[in-house]
Amino acid sequence: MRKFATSDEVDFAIIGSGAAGGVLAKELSTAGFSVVVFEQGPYLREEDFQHNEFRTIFQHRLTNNPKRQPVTFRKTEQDKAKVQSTLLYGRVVGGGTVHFTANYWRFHEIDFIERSKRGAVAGAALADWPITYADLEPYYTKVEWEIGVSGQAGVSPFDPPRSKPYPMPPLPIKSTGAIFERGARKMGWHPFPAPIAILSQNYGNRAGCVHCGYCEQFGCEMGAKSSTLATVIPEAERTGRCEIRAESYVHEIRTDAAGRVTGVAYFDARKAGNFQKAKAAIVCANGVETPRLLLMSKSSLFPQGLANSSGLVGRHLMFNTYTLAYGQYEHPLNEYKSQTVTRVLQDFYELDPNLGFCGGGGLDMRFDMHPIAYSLFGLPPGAPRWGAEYKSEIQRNYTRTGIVACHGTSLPVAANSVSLDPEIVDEWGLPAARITYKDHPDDLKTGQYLLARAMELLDATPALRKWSDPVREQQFGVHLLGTCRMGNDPKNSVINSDHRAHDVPNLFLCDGSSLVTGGRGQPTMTIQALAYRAADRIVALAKRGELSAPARAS
Amino acid sequence: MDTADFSRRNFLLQSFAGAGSAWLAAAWPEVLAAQQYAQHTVRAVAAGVPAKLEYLTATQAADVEAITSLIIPTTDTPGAREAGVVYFIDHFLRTIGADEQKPFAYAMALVEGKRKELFPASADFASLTAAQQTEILKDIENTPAFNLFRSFTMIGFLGNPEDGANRDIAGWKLIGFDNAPTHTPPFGYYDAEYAAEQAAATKEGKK
Repeated sequence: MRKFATSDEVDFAIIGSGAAGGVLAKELSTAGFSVVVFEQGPYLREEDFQHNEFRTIFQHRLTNNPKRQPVTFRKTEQDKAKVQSTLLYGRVVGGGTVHFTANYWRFHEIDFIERSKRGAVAGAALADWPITYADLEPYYTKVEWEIGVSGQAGVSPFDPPRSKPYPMPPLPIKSTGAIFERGARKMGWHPFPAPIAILSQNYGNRAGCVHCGYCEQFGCEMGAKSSTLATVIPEAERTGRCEIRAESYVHEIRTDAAGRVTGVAYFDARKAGNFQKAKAAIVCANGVETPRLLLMSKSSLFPQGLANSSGLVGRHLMFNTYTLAYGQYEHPLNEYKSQTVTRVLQDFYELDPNLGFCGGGGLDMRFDMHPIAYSLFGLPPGAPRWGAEYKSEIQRNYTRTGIVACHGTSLPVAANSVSLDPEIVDEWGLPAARITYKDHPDDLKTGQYLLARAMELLDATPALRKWSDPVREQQFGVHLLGTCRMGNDPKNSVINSDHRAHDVPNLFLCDGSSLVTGGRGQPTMTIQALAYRAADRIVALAKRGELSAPARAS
Repeated sequence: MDTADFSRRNFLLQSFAGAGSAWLAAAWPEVLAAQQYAQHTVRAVAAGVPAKLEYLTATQAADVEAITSLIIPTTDTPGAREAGVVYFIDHFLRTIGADEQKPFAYAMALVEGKRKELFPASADFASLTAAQQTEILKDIENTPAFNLFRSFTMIGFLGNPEDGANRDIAGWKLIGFDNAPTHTPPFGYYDAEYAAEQAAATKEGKK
């Protein structure tokens, strides 16, 4: 791998190596630009990934550690925020794509135009995107073929149009998939094979999945999961123009007197301060870390934080709604084998406006609890928690439980936000992210509606026992979306449709923060399609010499 | 802690919050030490040598073993005792779980307090009758302290043998978890049934 000196002025500093950062690193280095990718977390290799639930999950091997980087939470801006585990994000080279479940749903047309189609929603800042599904379609296809996505086109009548089939067939059905498909058909719904960013067969120089079962929440030790670690990052490194600088925690993007980015300040693995010179910066750090970095990068020229003349940096945070219904069955499902999801339905993607609320979502069935987690959190309410009866409960039902997961919309609400906590700092002395979040009432109704469908579906299956988690206001986010939204008007958005910050000509933002709406609970595919599109736009701008344009007066 | 307050995904980060802790990421050298320890323990146990205590006193270990054995009792199948859960907890508290020493001491003190309150003439928890021990645990079963014992027990019962947990994979055998490095379809009963029906339908279609 090429190494750059901090005094070398590289073409691009990319902050974050996840779904978007990995793609941009590959595309820009392939196009001939020099790139340094900064990643907070370590550079783990396939051989570092272990079949070990305790170490991987309970010790935060692949994700942020709330002890080292505390986060504070409050429901409204009137409350005082308290330290609380509020979010989960990938913190290794490859970011969240290392541990993700790999559900690769495309957004549908509605996600880009919901505001004009549905009209205003009280209490929400619903807006149309400056681009449409048609603009993004070629890039969805590019993701599927470049990184490897398994699936079957043409089964779901709700699928948005596509220019090409999937590059490989779906992964083998599991028992939850079989139960789900039959139950859904009985209800008159339209289940289809889940689109999954895991190889169902050999693809390029990568081998197909061997169904080890250590998938969601784990790193894939054989590279069958199409993480950026297994796909685009090695390609970027092979160009000889890209350095992945792991354990490098960027805390400030610096600008000159003209308001242009000059480089990034970061802590290395020993917590020593460094400064990397760069001609341009692209922040792909996720929907919380990206706005946090911009807010930490305030200066006399940018007193509200970098690229924040709109005051919208950090606002419109969306987690997606997430509700669960559980079923226990007579025979073993053995869901601990293979990857997580094999069947999905999207009959409720766009709910009838006459229901009186705005939203929609999709359902799948899975059982994604490993043994320790199951024993502590997987039993029905009122089940024994210790003793001989508890023992026979886990003995009988670990292999016989399935969960219908409902993935739904979160409406953008201006008060739901990421800001800097005024008191709490992390292990590096940097201000903690402060999360303000209260679900829009429509989101809770959407969650409730989808959960009712999930219970109906379980009724149509031979479940011996079923139950659901009650719908509650969320205080925890895994999908971190919407906090530096894209738009044409610099007063109402942070970046333009090229992902360029309205206020800073050589600063780009591309990750979950770019999303104007949050889709229906599976955002990574769209983040990655945006990254491929952003790469095309940035290359075109750079080749026209437009990255050296002067800053917009703010 | 009321785990029901949080959605299932939150357990990753919240599960031990009530006990005043979340696991601290272990440094790699400690993990390697744990692996070496585990291999050593496996060999020692295989050779019939009793595992040595590293952190707990013999009295505490007897109490912890009694508590874990109430949570996962020995029935017609092995329980926490046979899975060596007390040795996992002992090693854990000295190494990668050193952060848990304080909450653990608090939980032990709570049990001790209850014992003295309910059975003032007794010497220690381990020497009480099973009924007396159960009475104490029932009294504290909704406390963070009990959740700590329950969490430690289940990690020791269902964790990885290379961490000193789950001796003879007693826990995994109990719940039917097969930790083979790869699997092949059909995975379970219902997908096997589905495949058989698909095959029959295809055959029917060809007639």
